[in-house]
Amino acid sequence: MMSAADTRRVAAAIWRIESPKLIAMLVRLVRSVDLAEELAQEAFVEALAGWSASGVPANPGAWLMTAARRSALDALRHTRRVERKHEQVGRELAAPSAASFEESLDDVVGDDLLRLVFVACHPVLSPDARVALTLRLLGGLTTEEIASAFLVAEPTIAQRITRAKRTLTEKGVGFELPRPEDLTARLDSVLEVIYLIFNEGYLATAGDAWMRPALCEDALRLGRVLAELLPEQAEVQGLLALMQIQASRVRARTGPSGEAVLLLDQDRGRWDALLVRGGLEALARGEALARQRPGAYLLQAAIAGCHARAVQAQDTDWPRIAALYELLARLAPSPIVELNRAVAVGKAFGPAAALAIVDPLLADPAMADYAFLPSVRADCLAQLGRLEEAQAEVERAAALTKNAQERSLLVARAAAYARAQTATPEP
Amino acid sequence: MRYLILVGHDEKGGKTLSEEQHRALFTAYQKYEADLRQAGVLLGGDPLQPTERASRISSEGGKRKVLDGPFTESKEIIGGYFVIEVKSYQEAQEWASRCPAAQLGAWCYAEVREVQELQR
Repeated sequence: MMSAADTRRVAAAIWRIESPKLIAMLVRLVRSVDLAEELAQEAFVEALAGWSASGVPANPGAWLMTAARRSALDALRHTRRVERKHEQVGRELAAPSAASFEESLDDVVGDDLLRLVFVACHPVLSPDARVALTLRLLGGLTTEEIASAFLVAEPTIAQRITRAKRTLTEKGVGFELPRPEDLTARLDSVLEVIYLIFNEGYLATAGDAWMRPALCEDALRLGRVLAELLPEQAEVQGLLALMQIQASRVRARTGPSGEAVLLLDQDRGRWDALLVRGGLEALARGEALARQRPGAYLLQAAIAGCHARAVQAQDTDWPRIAALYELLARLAPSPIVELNRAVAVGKAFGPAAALAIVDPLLADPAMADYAFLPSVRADCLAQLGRLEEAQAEVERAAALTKNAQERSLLVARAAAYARAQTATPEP
Repeated sequence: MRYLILVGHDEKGGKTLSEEQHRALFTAYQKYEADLRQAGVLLGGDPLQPTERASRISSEGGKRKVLDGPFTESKEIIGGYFVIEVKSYQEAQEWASRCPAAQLGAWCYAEVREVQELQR
């Protein structure tokens, strides 16, 4: 017999593994996220009580499914009894009949999960709400775990989830799979949620650490689940590839004293080979599915893939990266993409070509406070021997950045440009 | 966190299975792999060939020593592995418990090991 603490730990692990499937199945039966969650938790508490006495069964998942179905059936019977009392109203509510209940038991788990994915990531919800609901319902995370991952108070997340569930009810969000004509838009919302979770881990916008790998892992897990559910969607593979290749660099992104190490300066031996391989495999699957029409995630993954394939930084296929950025800029035009394209063009075709792309961006108000722009421009100017201008630009970048580590790097560059000017005085 | 699930068995035990039992085992592993995949936790893994084609290499007095398989004198061999990424040791243990090797009697087992993250 296990101790109470052991049972609790095992229970938490089983909850994380089983709860998405359990809740997804229950949502189909009872047509309410709230009730489904409640029933799943009830089944779980019941299971725990039994297991602490008799031990965990060989197949706890099946055990839980059976218990949860039983309580769902009870809940539905109760609903129907209540309805019968109001028979004169003559309204057949969403509660399914006994026959359809039996039928629905045969449905594949996959469809249930996919429906739940689309509900949790429904566009009627704010991005914050979608993120919290997705981690809770599909990631199997507790409210407490979500709160600590995002460094917010637990009641804030609890309230966000409650409000999200209420919104789903109020807006009458259905639990059907999206219609084919809505699929692209609905899928975009799902991909956005997963990538938001990933980036919150990868680019940690809050807190002292500049990465929170646990959130990256949660996002990767969700990405893999989605790729299993929708194996034919090129952009799902694209997102999974992009996240895996980016995550492969986590260990190399920080130096010994916690400072950021930029991509081209990273020790590539520290990249996670397993994630690189997984990323490149997903990229290949995605590219095969997209046939000549890659979406934005797939293009970004292809760019990341170029870096991943380069054994050393100087092996990087910059002309290909420049071409991929051009495709990306056409698909999703943004000054940031344009600036990244300029960097790739600079590496591939020299500083003058890059400067021709960078200079027009100076007029873009969205870029006025963006330190990376003068930093890139300074690099082009310096390579062209226009050191005085380069120094002014890099000083501007240093004044703009909010990151102390980045600032000290920029200040050092400014000093280097200044020294170079005295070394080679203009004629 | 990353974990390795090692599938261990005594090589003789595996060989006493009937063809039908072999097929059932194969199906069980397929299902197990699909479960890991669908849960989004599987990073990799493969079955390993029997130890007829295997060698254990060590050194003795500065000289290379090669012991070719099959390793008749060793009780247990590794028959395959899975690499998974999960939130906690308990979750890894739970996945290991669902491995067919953990459910087929004393001649085989699943061993779960945490992968050490080297801070270089």
